[in-house]
Amino acid sequence: MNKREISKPLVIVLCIAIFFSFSFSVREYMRIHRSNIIAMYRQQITQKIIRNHGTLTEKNVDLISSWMTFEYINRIFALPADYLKNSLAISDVQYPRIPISRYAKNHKLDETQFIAQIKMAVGAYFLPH
Amino acid sequence: MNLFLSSFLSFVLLYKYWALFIIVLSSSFLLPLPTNTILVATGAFASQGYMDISVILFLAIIVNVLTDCFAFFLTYRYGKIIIDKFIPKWDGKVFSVEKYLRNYAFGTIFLTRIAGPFAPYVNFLSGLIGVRFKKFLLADFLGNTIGTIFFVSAGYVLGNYWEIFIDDIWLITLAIFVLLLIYFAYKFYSEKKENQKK
Repeated sequence: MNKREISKPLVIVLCIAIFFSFSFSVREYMRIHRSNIIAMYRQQITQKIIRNHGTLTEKNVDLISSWMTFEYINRIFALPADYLKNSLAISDVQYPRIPISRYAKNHKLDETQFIAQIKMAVGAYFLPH
Repeated sequence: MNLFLSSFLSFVLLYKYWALFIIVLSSSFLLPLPTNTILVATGAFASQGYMDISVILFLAIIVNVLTDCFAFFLTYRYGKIIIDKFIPKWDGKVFSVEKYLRNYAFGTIFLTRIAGPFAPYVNFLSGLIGVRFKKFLLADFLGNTIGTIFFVSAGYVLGNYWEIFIDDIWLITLAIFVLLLIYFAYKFYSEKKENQKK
């Protein structure tokens, strides 16, 4: 069986490289730790998660899409169950368990225009009365 | 967002867990449905309090595993009879795929659970060529659990802004595909090395 020969200088160079990389990593970690970068990022991520999970407001009406049901819109914007029904004069018996696209199709409405109306109605809910 | 996906999202909003059950069942059996995107969406719906994340995870994992096992047993039990009936000259081998799947069964089953449209076909083939059931079940359960938890939690973390993720799901599929290739290359190399030793 052939035994591989390992060059000693190469091993020494590798050991030195590993030592320097390790000490550099530890030094960088300590620097990051001291400057509070990790805590700052953690805080930013937590804020983002909170922002992603909060109840939506008038600033988020652009999220409304044709696949959403009225029930879902009521839920994510925390609207009263009959708010959209009254403000858009919806008489469909399937309300609120009907997607916007199906409602627009059933009632021969222009989908884009209808979504714009819903966005306005939702936005209006958040205006100070 | 395309009409195809929109219809499924409306379906999930209307029928919640029943819709998820039907979508997961159909896609693990044969239909190429956008299940990963649906899982991301349901994770987001859970974060908004519209669905329950533990029910979603439980349902998706259990239905996936049970359907995969059903598909496996279907071809394990009846595959050869059906093929013999329709392909009389079949020599008992599923082209060249059989050898590869037999050798690399665990990794192939595991990775195809997480992403890509090949999972149902791998289920049928695994049963047909007689992969050991314990191996199939372990790989299937692990792959489905990791994949489901990943996609549902991604949706849960992104919450109201989950839609920004759906355009990047193909990247995950690509990553899985690359992993699969690396896995094949590794297995092929180690097999070759072992043969050389002998």
